[in-house]
Amino acid sequence: VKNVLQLIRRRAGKHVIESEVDEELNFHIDTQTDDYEHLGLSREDSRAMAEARFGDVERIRTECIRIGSGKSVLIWILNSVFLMSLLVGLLLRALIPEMHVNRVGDVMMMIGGLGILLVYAKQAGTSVFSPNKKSLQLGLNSNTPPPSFDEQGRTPFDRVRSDE
Amino acid sequence: MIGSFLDSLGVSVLVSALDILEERVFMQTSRTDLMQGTLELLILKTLSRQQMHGYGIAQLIHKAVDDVLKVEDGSLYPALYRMEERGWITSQWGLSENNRRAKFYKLTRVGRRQLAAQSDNWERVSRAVIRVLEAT
Repeated sequence: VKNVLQLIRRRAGKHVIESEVDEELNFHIDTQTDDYEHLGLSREDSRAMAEARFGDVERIRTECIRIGSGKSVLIWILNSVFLMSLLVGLLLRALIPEMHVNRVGDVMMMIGGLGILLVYAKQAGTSVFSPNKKSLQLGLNSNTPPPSFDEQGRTPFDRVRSDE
Repeated sequence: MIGSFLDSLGVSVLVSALDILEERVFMQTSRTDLMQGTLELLILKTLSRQQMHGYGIAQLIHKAVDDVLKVEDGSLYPALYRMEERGWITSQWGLSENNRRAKFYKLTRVGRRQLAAQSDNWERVSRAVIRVLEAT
């Protein structure tokens, strides 16, 4: 129930997440630009350097919004199915006294219970259970555009430092 | 204890399979050039000292790793969002040093446990690599 409510809330508030992601990424690039500017670079060079250092803004923005607005539909679907299985199993067990129906109820409860446990384990992070298998991205991106180099291969930042 | 109990049920295997399925079907995430989990570990360690906004985390990581690792600033954010999703960190908006609204991240109890687990794992792996290098 908590997951369903969370998903609905996130879906409903997707535009809020979008604007929050924009604000956060803008804050980063603006602050980096200011820092470069304080070191003596021009505003344009500072901005270019900050953007180059940040990486592909659009890709990162899209990824953040996707994660922020309910990461995995699969998890949500699985959670719902397992929860439903558990509830139906419980109802069968409680309402119908016949033996074979009871067994079906038991199986459904077991599937639902184990499934919910599985999804919980997934959300808690698998590394708790198998630390050397779980992983994530260190997003080095070879497509990052280089800052504007001069003929000696120096960035604007290098040029300011050598001028000093 | 819970971990080993779940392992005995084969939960970790199923979870790994679920991870792969999820990634294949729903997540078109970028592949990594460095050992997986490294960025998360760096973020967790950085946040273990104090709560911080993304820019601050990036600066500290850059300062710490110098030129040895080249971390793209933007890659930090999807990692932060994923870590928040998992409950390792929480976030709240506040005012930065330059008086602008910024999102501050803070380590949770789960995150601290995660940091300990990942640090242990990292040390184990690096010890193993060093042993191999020294042996050859």
